[in-house]
Amino acid sequence: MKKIVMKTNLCDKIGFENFYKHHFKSANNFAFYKCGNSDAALDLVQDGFSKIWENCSKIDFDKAKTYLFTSINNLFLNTVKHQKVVFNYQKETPNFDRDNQNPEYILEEEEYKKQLLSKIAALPANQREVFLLNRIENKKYKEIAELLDISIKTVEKRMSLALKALGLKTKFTK
Amino acid sequence: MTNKEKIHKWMNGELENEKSENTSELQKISHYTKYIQLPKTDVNFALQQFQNRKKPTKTIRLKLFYKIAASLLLLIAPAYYLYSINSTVSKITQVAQTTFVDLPDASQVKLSANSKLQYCKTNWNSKRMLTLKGEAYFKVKKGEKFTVKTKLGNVEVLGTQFNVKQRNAIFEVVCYKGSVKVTSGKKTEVLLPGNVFQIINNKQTTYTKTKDQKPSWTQKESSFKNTPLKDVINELKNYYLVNVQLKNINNQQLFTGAFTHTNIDVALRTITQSLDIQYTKTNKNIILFK
Repeated sequence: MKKIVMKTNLCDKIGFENFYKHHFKSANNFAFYKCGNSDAALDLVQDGFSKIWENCSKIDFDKAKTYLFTSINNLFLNTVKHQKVVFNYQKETPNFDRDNQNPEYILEEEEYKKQLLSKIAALPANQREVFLLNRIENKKYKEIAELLDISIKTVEKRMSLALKALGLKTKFTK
Repeated sequence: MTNKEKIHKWMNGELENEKSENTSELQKISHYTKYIQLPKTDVNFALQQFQNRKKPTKTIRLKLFYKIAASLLLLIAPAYYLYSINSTVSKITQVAQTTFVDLPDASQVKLSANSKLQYCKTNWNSKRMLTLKGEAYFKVKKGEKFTVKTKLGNVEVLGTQFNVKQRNAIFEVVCYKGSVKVTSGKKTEVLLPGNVFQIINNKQTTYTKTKDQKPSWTQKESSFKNTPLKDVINELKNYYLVNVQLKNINNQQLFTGAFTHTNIDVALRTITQSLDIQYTKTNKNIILFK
């Protein structure tokens, strides 16, 4: 079923709508990882889809997804680069150790969560997108590399830098 | 396996079951990261919004088209202007100077003294048009309509030889070969060889001249028929660099005759003797008196 959806024509209204629905969420999350603002993310995504719609005849279907993400990436670089990035947690965010109800532990964890969020927000956008695509969407390095049109080595490098910035104490020895 | 490799393998989901100091730290980071609040934008809402704005994007593209068109125009317009300026040829003669002008189609113009001829080089073969101030003799090759524009009237021909003179209030066209159509104001006349179309001070006459082969000025002589003295003097000033003063002399009296372009004294004598007047000449200053 998925295959059939993937093969539809981008210039066709129904085909485009299917493409849109199929990729909207991941594109929107991706834009959000970059800019940390859901309104700005939606704008980026809509502009990205606009580019596909305008150039539907020129885009090879198999590359449309990469084209979409690359467009969002470029649009982000052109527009909302300087925006302040803010992340929040879902209302129900259980602590890492659910069983530990020690008040001291709970306080420590609250502090840890806050700091982690601000560290993620402070990451350069290209490190953050790699890190969050991997952690939230469980994408493999290879998938991320394909999506962003970069090498796996670059993904590794960005991930290493991101983990270091997030305070992973383990030294990255060679 | 180095720490680095282990970490990347774990992140890639290849070391799920590995337990170590590293992985517990990674697990904690991962745990909290997963609870980041993501946008809850509804896909159908987004699609609706997208379809509503598809039209504006098209007008933006249209605007872009106009922008490009406008900027191209801005680039092309001065270039075209310069091009058309450059393709306009001007020939100017000074007092006592005559010159030959070869037109692009091998038609020839002999430009008399103190005159100005302008024409456009581009499209010459489809639109033969010149502007003349002063006097010139034309030998026109057969072809498209050939037009000479002057302040006092236009001359149209197909292929012929003719002389056009427009100085101050004088407009005179003499046809030597073929036929010439002259338009001045509402008046239109077709001239045959030997015919002269003349306007002096708004008075138009057409008469037949003895058949000269060429206008007299091309033979270094100016000839006149019933022309006010004032215009004769002006003509004299086109061929000699002199000042002329009239004392007690009616400058409207009519002169018929010719003067040479080669010798000022001979020229002055021919003019004054036939009108029964005197002249004195000191350097470039000439005084005519009774």
